[in-house]
Formats: sequence, C-alpha cells, structure tokens
Amino acid sequence: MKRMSLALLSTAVRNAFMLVAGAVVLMGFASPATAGTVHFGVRCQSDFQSGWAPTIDVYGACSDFISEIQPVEYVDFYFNLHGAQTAFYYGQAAETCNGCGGADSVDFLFIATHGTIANNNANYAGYAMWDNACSGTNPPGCIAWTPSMRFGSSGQQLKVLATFSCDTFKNSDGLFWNRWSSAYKGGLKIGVGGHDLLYTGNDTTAATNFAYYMRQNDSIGWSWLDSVYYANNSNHPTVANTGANSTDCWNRQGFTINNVVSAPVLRDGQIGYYCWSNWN
Amino acid sequence: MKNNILNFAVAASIAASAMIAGSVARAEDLPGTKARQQFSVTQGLGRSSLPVLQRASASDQNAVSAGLIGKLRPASVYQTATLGGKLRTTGEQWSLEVSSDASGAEYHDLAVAALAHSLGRPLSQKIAAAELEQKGRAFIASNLASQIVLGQGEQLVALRADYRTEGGQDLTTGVNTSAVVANRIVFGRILGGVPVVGNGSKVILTFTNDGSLESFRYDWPAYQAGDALQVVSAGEVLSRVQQVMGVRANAAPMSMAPVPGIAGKEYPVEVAPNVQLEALDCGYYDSGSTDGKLKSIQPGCTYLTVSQDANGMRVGHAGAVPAGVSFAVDAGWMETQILSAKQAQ
Repeated sequence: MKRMSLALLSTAVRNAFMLVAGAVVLMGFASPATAGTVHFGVRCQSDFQSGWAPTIDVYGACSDFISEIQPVEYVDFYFNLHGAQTAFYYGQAAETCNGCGGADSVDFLFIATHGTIANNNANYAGYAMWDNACSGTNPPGCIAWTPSMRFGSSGQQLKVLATFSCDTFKNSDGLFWNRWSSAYKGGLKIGVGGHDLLYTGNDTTAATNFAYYMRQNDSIGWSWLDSVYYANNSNHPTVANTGANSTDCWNRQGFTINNVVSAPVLRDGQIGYYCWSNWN
Repeated sequence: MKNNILNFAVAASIAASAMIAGSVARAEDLPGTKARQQFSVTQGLGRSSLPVLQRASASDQNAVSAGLIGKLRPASVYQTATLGGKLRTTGEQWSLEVSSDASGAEYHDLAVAALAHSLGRPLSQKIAAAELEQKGRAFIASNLASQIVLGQGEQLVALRADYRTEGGQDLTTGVNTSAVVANRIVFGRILGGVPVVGNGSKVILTFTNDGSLESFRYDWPAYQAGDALQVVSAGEVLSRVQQVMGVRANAAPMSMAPVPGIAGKEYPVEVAPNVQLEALDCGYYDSGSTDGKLKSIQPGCTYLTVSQDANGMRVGHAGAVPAGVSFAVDAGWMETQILSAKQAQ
C-alpha cells in the first residue's frame, strides 16, 4: 500500500493518495461484527526522502501487526509518515484528525520508524518523518519531537503509544521525564518503545506477537517487552507509564487492551510518579 | 540534533543524570558466545562443508501439552483452545502454549510475575550468569527433559544472561528508584561442534529474584540431516553481509571488509561507510518455529549491524546470510532472495 511509487508524486497528491488508501484499509479492517472497543492507528516509514535517513524494513511488521489485531479491534488507519509531523503535535488540527492519521484521533497508535535523542539537547526524543525537511526548517530531516507532544487530552484521547524505534525511551541517563513529560501530561496511559537499539529484521515477529499477546489479555507492557525481546534477544524494549504515586504507577503498568480505555486518566498535576521496565 | 532545538542545559537534569548513570543492568553475552562470534568473523564456519537439515517434529501438540502440564501444573483445572495453530492452555494464573509443529512451547506463571516487583533488588545483586545457568539446567532436567532432548553429539550451551530492570521517579520528591526484578538465561544448541544460530534451538528461562520460575520459552526440534553443502570463507560471509546491507540500508559497500585478525578486539567491523558489524554468529541457521517459514536449515551466519549518522541517529539491522557456496532461495529468508538476485545480475 505504501511502497508504491509515492516518491514520484507531489506532496499534496501523495498525501491525498494515502488518505484514500487509508479509507480503503479502514473499510477492509473494521468489521463491526468482530471489532472491540479500542481504535488503533498505524503509521510506518521504511524509506526517507532523498535518503536523509537509512532505509529500514518495517512495513512487514506494520502489516503483520494489523493482520493480528484487526480481527478483534478497529484499525482506523494505516498511513506512512509523509508530512506527518503535525499529526503528533499538540494544538495542530492534524493531531486530532482521524483521516490525517492524527495521534489523538485513536486510542492506540502503533508507529515504526527511526527514533533518536537530539544530539544538541538530550531533553528531546524524536521520531523520523519521511520528509527531508519540516515546514520552516532546513534539510536534512524532519523529526517529530516529544516536547511538542501532548497525548490524551484532546480528540479521541490517545491512551497507548507503541513505537518500534531506537532510543526514544532511553531511561539510563535520568532524563526520561524531561523528554516525555509533555507527552504524558495529556493523559497518555502507556508508552512502549526502545531504551536503546531495536533491530529491524525480526520486527515482523515482534509486531505479530505483540498483537497476539495483547489479544490474550496479557498486559500491554508485558506483551511489548517479551514480544520484542523474543524476536531478537539483543533488542532493548521498554514500557513506561505514569501514576498518582509509586504503587499506582506499577499497578497501571498492568493495563491491558481490555481495560486501558476505561481506566482513569491522569493529567498534569495528577501525575505524581513515572515508572518504566526494560529488558536488557 | 536539529538546529531548531533550543540548547538549554538544566542543572537539575545533569544532577539526575549523574545519579542514574549506571542504573541499567546490561545484557551479558557469555564467554563462549563471544568466543564463537570471534571465531565466526575470523574463520566463518571453520569447515569446508555442512549438511542441510530439516526440522522434524517428534511428537504432537496434545502430547507435549499434557506432558508439560503434568510436570508443571499436575493438579490444575484448565481450559484449552487452538489459536492460529497454537494449542493454548490457561489455568488459574498460568498459561501454556505449544507451537503448531509441537517443537516449541511458552509458559507463563502470572502469580510469580505479579510478585516480581516486590522482590526487586539493587542492580548489583542481580543473579549472576553462572547461577542462572545452574538454575536453568536444573529446571530443564526436572521439567523439560522429555522435550529438550539431546541427540548424539549435541550439547546444550548457555549463550547469554539478560535482566529485566525497572525504575521510577517520585515527581514531588525527585527520588529515583531502580531495581532488577527478573533474570533470564538463554541456552542454545550445538550439533557436532556447530552451533544452531537464529531463534531456533533456544531455551529461554526467566527467574524472579527468589529463584521462582516466571516463564520459559523453547524451540527444540529434532533435525534430520540431508545432503552436504560446501560453505564459504569468512571473507565471503562478510562480503555477503555487505551486499545485503547495500540493499537493506542503501549502504554503499566498501570494496571488501577486512577479515579481522584472530587476536585482539575485532568488533566492530566496518562493512560499509558508517555501518558497523557488531556480531556475526555462524552455524546452522534456524529461525525457529514461531518464525517458522524456512523450508530447510542451511548453513548461515546471523549478523547485527549498527549505523549512526552525523546527527547521532542510530539504526540496527539484524538478519542472517546464507553460508553455502550454493544455497536454496527461501521465501522465508530475505537474504537468500537478495543475494540470489545479485548473483543473477
């Protein structure tokens, strides 16, 4: 769906094409007879404009994740990350727009792309977009940075952010909350990703098993930790979340897809603790 | 990384960073694993030919499941269902799944897992790899002996120890906590002196800090040997990794990665500009029953590469290249397709 000759199209046409493609996906995936209560969105990017970042092979993982989860939950969209920065940024119209692939237009967002920590400011974690430059910035590269994110306070109110990306959930330097507080303070309940490298290559197995474990009502965090670890023992998966206090935080790390939507939201001053678990 | 990011350093952050430094219990490749990886990058397979293997299931799902439940949960009430070919059994606070070919299983004790947090220890008190290996071997002998069967010339070898760590911060007081809460040992298999690489032929056991088994997962097929294949040298293996990375990461290969000397610190090996080979492990390549799409088990070498651009963005690629002079193209093995297409050019 995404790997066709989109690079040959203009940005506007390309984005429009992706929206149409997404609508087709929606119709094909969301069966009211079988779908549950969680609305999923999926956004993935393997290649990058003008090769500003190395090619990775994540589309298979994203397709397999959808194949595994869609029999039981709604999958609202499957888009690439062309022109997608604003879909992650709080206050931008795209952020709550389902047809635009907005983060706060679904309950559960799964993305796969490059991740990084800003090399001139370790208080920023970011996800690579396809574009060689964001609006108003110079090449190379467009990145959606966490301090501009606030998930869970508008639109559909995102509950879970799952990211198959390197480094963004790094917590060994004590700066995790500096990087992620803005995103979590909107009410995001669970975030999963990598605290170091996540290797592309076995990610199809990881994504499939992540969805499979969640379908068995295993906790979202545990599903991520073990699916990504088992796919490649050298991976570094992480789950991180918030709580009113320590006990609450560890309890909330046990959320499943069957209770994460209805669980109480914690925003801003209600958050008294953040906690994480890593493999490796 | 980008110039549009404000460059403000926060003193408190630096202080917190200093407090947390070293708070992650790092995974540990065991000495034998490191030695094998060293051998692989210098000697390849270290022999001129190897047989192609076939996975062969020696039992059926129901028998394996019943046998494991008899060992692990003999007095339990449980329910069984088939999901996507897997046989899944769930009881009070536990689950067991047996793979469709009956060569693999995964078990979780949810009651033990629920206690892991409360048993957290300082990171310095993680269970050492040697003790984990001992616990793992004892558990296998007591509970998995009918599944983890070693044939003539086969060995069960400990490969690595991994740790689940956790941490948090009280946002009012700023107090940080960190602990190790689970300890994992990974075993692999050696057939006639040649390791099985990839996710096949692995036994992975996880213990909480009080020594209780939290989970296990294994893939342990019987193998049937077929015709022998001539295998390539270490240099050709590295060349194949270069060719594959040229396609997977759009990385221009160097003319030829130097084969490292036998002594000294050989890793990482630069296989393309800014692409470092961090580990190479040669043997019989088996992707395992959960990834089970391989038609046959051919000689091959798993690889891990890492690249980093000028802005610090890192990329890790994992995979396996075939090591036969000739090899069968397999729809479930991407690199055989890439290299076959290149050879046809």
